[in-house]
Amino acid sequence: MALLAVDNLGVRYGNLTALDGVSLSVAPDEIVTVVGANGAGKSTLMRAVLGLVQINSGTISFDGQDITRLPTFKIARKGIALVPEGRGPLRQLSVRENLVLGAFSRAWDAATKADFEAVLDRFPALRPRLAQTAGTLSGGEQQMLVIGRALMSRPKLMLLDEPSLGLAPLIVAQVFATIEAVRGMGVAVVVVEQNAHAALKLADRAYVIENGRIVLEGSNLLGDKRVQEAYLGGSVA
Amino acid sequence: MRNVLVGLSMLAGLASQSLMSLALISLALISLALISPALADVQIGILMPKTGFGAGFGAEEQGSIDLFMSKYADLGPAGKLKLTIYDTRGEPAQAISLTRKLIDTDNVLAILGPYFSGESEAAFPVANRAATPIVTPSSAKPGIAAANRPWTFRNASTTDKTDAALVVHWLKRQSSPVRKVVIFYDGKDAVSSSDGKAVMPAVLKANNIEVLDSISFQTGDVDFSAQVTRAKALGADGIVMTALFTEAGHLTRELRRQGMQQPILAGVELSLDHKFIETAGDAAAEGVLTGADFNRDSPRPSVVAFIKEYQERVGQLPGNSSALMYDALFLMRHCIMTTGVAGSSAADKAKIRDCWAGLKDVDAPIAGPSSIDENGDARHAPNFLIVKSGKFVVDR
Amino acid sequence: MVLLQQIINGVMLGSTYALVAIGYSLIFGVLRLLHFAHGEVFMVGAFIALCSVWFLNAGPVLAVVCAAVGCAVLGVVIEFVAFRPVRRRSGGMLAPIVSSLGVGLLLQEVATNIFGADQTRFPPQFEATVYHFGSLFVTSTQLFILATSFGLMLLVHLFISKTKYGLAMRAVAENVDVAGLLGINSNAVVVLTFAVASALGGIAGVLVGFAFSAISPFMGISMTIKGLVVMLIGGLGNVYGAMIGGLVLGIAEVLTVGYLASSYRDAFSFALLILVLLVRPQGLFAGGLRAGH
Ligand SMILES: Nc1ncnc2c1ncn2[C@@H]1O[C@H](COP(=O)(O)OP(=O)(O)OP(=O)(O)O)[C@@H](O)[C@H]1O
Ligand SMILES: [Mg+2]
Repeated sequence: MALLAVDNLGVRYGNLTALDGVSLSVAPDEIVTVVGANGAGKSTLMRAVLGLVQINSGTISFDGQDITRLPTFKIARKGIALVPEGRGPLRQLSVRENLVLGAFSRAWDAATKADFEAVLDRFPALRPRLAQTAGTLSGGEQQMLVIGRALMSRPKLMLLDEPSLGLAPLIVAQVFATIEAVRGMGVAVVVVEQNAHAALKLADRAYVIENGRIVLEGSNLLGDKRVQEAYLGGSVA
Repeated sequence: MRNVLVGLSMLAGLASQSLMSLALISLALISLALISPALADVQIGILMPKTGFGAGFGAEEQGSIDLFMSKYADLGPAGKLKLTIYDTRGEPAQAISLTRKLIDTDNVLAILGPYFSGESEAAFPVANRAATPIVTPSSAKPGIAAANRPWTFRNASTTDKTDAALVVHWLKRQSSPVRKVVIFYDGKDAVSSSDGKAVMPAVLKANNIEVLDSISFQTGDVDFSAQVTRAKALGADGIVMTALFTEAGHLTRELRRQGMQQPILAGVELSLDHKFIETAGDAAAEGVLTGADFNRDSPRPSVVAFIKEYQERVGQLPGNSSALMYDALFLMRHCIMTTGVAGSSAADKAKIRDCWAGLKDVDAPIAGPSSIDENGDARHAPNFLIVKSGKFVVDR
Repeated sequence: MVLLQQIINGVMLGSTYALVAIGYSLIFGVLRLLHFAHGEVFMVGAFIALCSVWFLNAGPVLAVVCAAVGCAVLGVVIEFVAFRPVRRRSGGMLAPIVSSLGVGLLLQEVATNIFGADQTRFPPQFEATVYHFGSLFVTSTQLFILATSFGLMLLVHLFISKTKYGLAMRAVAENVDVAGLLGINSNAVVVLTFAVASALGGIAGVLVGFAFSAISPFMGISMTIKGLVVMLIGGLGNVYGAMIGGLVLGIAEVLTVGYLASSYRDAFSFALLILVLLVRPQGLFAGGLRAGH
């Protein structure tokens, strides 16, 4: 059974149709990527899953439960973590406070403390900066922090909206390695990327979204001609 | 009315012995129409603070209004006295617009009010221009009526007349002489401000008293610590305050709390309100001397009767503001009755104005013989009152 | 010596301003909205304390507790009645200003009907003992006020910097969406914010009532304005700015009255505000519901 099932989803911003009949599913343990051009509706899809935009039609279910009209905080507590576009650390809070808030819906017990240590072990750059306000971190460090914060909630599903945006190539590689590792912890992952090549290589399955519609879906889209032409500059790198 | 007339005539017509009944009905209607002007009421407008910081004064005035109307609303052939009461909230801007409203919309014969000097200063020119008599029962800042002749009056003594006697009395009764004083005055309240900045200093100077400092505060203040700390360093041997009762109470409390035990003279702005003592506390207020138009301990039978009736009706003792309003209503009714006015025409208003201007030794129930001087102000001899064991008592 | 005494006077006044302004700042920090009935919450706090003294024979501590609890409830009711409906409809800045002004007038009206327009006093057993040190003096009431207000400031500091719900409050203040993603119920946090802010405002009302023994339905009007001035001086929505700003305003007012004249007091406060905003447009402390630094 799918962990996340989006069925026939429609979202409008006023007159503009941002998503139109979008269906998508994610199995536990799976890495799924959604690729598409600027303005295709990728972020809208992520935000719709978390209840951050108003849904006009369709349903979303998670873990067998309908979450279509739940408030964001309830969806989050069911085990979906979103690493938003442009990252979204709480910039005025310290690194430690950000991580602690990641575990807001958990008790601060031994298991949570162990997770805290695990996050710091995974992202050692954060450790010396625990007392620093998050706004003073570099872009790469902020990305680490937000992924770490998402892990602190022990999610079943992690959504990442363009995690590589604006990062140096070395850091991008690190981010993708982290995504693999996250899946290794038994967390399903949806990655939205413009860096389609890396995303497609990483993913088990992929969706292509154009003008708010899913136009392609498959498990080996890297080899697909249409995808190569539209998103990979016409050649396999 | 017209419909009834038409209906009745039709009925009468149907009843066929038409002419006779038609004539009868018409006659009845015409006579009714002729009588009605004689039933018209004499309209007096009242301006007072029913809400806001002066609401306590307004309540005192309202008690007297209720009592007075229960006894004297009937004007005999002129019909009934009818009052239109508006709430100025103690604000001069409100006083202006409500004065206009009373004159233009309500077409009153005359106005009693407003309460405060600041309001009267603002409203008097309006009534004066509109040639409508206006009488404040309470405002005591000198010169307000004088500046707006001939339509404005007041039934309270101005501070320039009361202060001289008050200061002399205060100085005389001190066991150790007072030579240097600090003045505290309310800079926001019109009468307290003029009294504290101009009238009192002149009177004190005339008595060879040195004023070390004049320290202001503002109506509504509750924290007087800064003012008292400032005064404490000066070494005065007497304190003069011109303040409304609430602020005077807080100030007195703070003076005693910071250890200033000098004798205190409080101006007539205190309005003899018992809440001064409550606010200051009995111990702090003990020995404070003030002056007022109203002497609750007066043996005059009309005063005794007033206090008794007021208490029965309102359930509280009348205050200085009650007394002033009661007399003002009495004198206004006196003028209506003696001039025989029955409406609000220009001629009626002029008669009321002339009556007020010429008031001489009219026996008002509380103040007794009342006169109006050439400035439009009343002349009352002030009573000296001193706080003894939590009460104002007459000091002779 | 006179100067020292004046500064003591100023700290007394300022500590109550600070309590009111902290509440203002919490609400502004979390909601970006001005709560124009906050001064009336302060006023209601004083009356609740008075009632607890009348009917429960409460001492100062119990009176403070009653006011805190009562005002916390009142604050939550105000949130549900005056803020939440207009916030949902996202009527911009104006709708909540108008609706909170309306609530303020309503509370004044209700208090006037119950207690009358005049000032009411605490019973004489609340009269302070005066301690003189040379020419300086402090009263037992003042010591109680100092202990209570500085104790509360410390508690507020610990709450927003060390507790889970304090962190949640700061998260909602910075970014409602991100707070939701972390599983934080922002509506519940808003309710909590109103409760805490209103409790502080109510306690300030009791303290002012104790200090000056003058409780009136209109005592909140100037507090609303002063709280706003303090918040602007301290930095919009900054709790520490509100604490410092409150003390600065209290001392500035007292010194103006003590060395110039009372009529300059408000003018001087606004001059101080303008000066601060010219030199540091963001206020003494940068905006945001911050913890320390
Ligand atoms: N809040 C909004 N109000 C109105 N239109 C919006 C809003 N958010 C997004 N849109 C529009 O909806 C469409 C989809 O936007 P979305 O952000 O989902 O695209 P995207 O695929 O994430 O693009 P990018 O790759 O640039 O991040 C775009 O045309 C965008 O302009
Ligand atoms: Mg996007």
